[in-house]
Amino acid sequence: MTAERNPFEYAGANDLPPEMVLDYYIEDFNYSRFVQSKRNLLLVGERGCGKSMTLRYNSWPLQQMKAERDGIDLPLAHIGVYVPCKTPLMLKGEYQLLDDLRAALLSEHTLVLSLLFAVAETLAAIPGVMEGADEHALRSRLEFVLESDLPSGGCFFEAVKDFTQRANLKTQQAVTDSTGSSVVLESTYSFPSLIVPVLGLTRAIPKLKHSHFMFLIDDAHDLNERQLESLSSWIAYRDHSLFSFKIAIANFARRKIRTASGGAILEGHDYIRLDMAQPYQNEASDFGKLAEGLVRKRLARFGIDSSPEEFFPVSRQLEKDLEQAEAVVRAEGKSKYGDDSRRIADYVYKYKRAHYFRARSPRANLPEYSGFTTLVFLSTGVIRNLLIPCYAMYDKVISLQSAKGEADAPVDSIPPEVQSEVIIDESRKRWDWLRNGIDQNIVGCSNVDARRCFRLLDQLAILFRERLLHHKSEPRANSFTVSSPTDEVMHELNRLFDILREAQLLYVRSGSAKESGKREWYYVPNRLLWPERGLDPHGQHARVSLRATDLWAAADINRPLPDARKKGERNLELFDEPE
Amino acid sequence: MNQNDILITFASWEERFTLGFEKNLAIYRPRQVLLYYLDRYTDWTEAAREAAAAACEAGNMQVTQKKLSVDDAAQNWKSIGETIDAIAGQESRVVVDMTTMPRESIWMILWFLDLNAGNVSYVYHRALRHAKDWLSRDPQKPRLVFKMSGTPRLGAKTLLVVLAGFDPERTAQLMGFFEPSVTLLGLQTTNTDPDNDRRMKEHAERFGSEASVEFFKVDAYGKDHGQEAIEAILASRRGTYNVVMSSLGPKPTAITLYRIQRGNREFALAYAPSSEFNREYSSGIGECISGDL
Repeated sequence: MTAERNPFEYAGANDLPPEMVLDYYIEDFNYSRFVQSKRNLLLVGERGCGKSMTLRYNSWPLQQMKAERDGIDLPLAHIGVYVPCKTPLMLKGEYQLLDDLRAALLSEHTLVLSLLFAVAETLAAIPGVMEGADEHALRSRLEFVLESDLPSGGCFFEAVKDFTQRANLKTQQAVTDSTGSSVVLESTYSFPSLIVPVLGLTRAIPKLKHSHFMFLIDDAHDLNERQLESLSSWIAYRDHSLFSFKIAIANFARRKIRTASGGAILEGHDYIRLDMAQPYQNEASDFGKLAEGLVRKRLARFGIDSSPEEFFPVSRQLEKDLEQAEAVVRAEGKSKYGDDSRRIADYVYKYKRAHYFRARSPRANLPEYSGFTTLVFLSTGVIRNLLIPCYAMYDKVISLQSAKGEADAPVDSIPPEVQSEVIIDESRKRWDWLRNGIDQNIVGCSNVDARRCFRLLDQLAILFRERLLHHKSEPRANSFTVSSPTDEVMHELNRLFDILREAQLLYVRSGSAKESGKREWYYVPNRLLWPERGLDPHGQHARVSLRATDLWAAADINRPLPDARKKGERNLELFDEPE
Repeated sequence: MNQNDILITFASWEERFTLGFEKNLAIYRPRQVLLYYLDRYTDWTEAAREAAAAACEAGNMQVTQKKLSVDDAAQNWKSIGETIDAIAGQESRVVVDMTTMPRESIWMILWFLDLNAGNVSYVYHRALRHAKDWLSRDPQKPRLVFKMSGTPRLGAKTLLVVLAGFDPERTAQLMGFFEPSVTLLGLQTTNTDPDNDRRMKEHAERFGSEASVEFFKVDAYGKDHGQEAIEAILASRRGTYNVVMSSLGPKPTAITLYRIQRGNREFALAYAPSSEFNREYSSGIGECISGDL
């Protein structure tokens, strides 16, 4: 468990105590209300974007705690049953020693036992859950379904837990039997043969007779392919009155989700997809509001009575420089557009920050990076990316205070120079990691590909810097699309993109394309990379269109990307949202 | 040394494989040699395998070469099972040279020998020197070893035991994969490897600030290859956690973890494969470590 030493703790949701999850979680601007519904949901996004936190927050024990805090009735209409998949049980591979049918049976059996255990554990914790229920009749009915006796005595759901634990142990002992090399598979349970009847029995329990059970399946990407097929089959159930699935999964775009019978499940029809990593980070965006609320809540929990903007102030010098830049750019805008205030405002939006960067001496040190808005942009829409530098900044201030013998002094803000130092340090760390070889810890990354990844991001940094200093139309573009793709080149590029995504150095988003409102994928390098290269993390909603062959040449032979000033680029369209 | 029936070894391009093989033949005098090698390194090991086969022929020993896969653990399980089943019996005396054997293969081979053979011993030839810059890279997804994957309990948290190796990032990868509630990180006590202290210090620095990581000392080259130290630190946690154990450190700890797993079937063994090895991984041959399973 994590001790609270820093308001910006970013341990995994499962390492945080329940009270801290409740205190830190923000319900607004992150779809959490979608979870408390009867729909099937897929929560999609990279590590650190809040998937597990959302599921844990909606699990029944947390909702119970919240209801007690709020002084309201226990929330039994929707009961969240949290099912972790990153467990040694789910990672067992013995199914691979079986033929296809038995591999599927064993895989589903293991998953189903995990679900039943989670149901029983959740319901056993509900105070007085069996009040008014005919427990004897329920036991008889369940024993009939299970074709097995339940342990006598104790709470009904505790008995179900014990039964599940025993069934699991029996299976695992059979699977790892050391008297023969083959895997012995005895009778197995399936979702229809175990979970559906057990949930059906809850209709005879007065407290639960109207409850809807939400299976909160966390880290579903750790399930094996057969388990994912089973899960997809369950998602395809049409009747959502009794149960639904809320599934957190990373790398969803690269997975083909099929049911056990080979059918497809359809977004919008069988499930709703929620992208947890959000594309826009400005103050007005959902992510901007989420970030503001999250930091405000964490500061308050630490007794810090400052707004995020006050706690992470912009340096006075930077403010002054930006004011000067704005004055110059506004004057330019006026001379171009006269009294057309909307066009002048657009002009200022596009060029104010670019002017600041352009006006700096080429020999100057790296610019200063400070201010809460800058931190939000640097996050690239991923909560953990926001918390990491904040955590380091707070820690640094405590260290500085300790050095002066003032360790217990309250921290009421992070000085801009500390912010800048930490941001540049975090940026440098990522470049060092890229340069020294991400092949040391990214699965499936060869040394050759590690070098290609470095060269690709390095050339993109050069291109974005060139644009920042010289581009006339979209100087602060820092995302790109891939044009003229061919199967051959995309095969190579996608491999690098996958590695960079796994390393959380690149994010993929979908947005409207230039052509006839189609959707297209675009790529956003982690903005924490940019401070070390003197770039502006405050993005501009423009995507540089780069040919697949040019991107591959940059990665493979370090060929500079073509000067975007001479190439077509994706500018704001009618329905785009400017950042 | 008494005559052994079977020598099981794993071909490598490293000098210590060929030098160790010669020593093994002289010391253990096997009647048969089972020589495994990896598909991806077929070319790199060709000369060493030819030399080994020639030595066997000269000594009138039967040699069987068997190719294993870098990626397909299930196929390896079947291949190892079939080859050992074909040559080993309850009366067999078998020596396993684990010098250049991947840990997963060691564990699978020992498991099948437990099932089939009468007397099993092991030998490990240390290198004189290791490459300075890198030894292995391109880590693949860690995996639990078949039949040694434990009997994890529903609802229990995960405890990871890692015996530290050359690179803290490999340890970080294992921790990232299993996301344990507790990690017990075994640091190798000082030994003849001049870089050992530096490497262990790097681990201590890298993970020292993490509240969920607990360090302990282990001596892979001691009499029990660190078994007592590992069992002692696990004693108070038994039954509380689902225990997963992995070794990135000195090879003799593969024996240790195997022994502990066989005595505690609820614990799991995890293998963290790498896709790429340095052609200059090691040079020379050093101390020979051996024992009975």
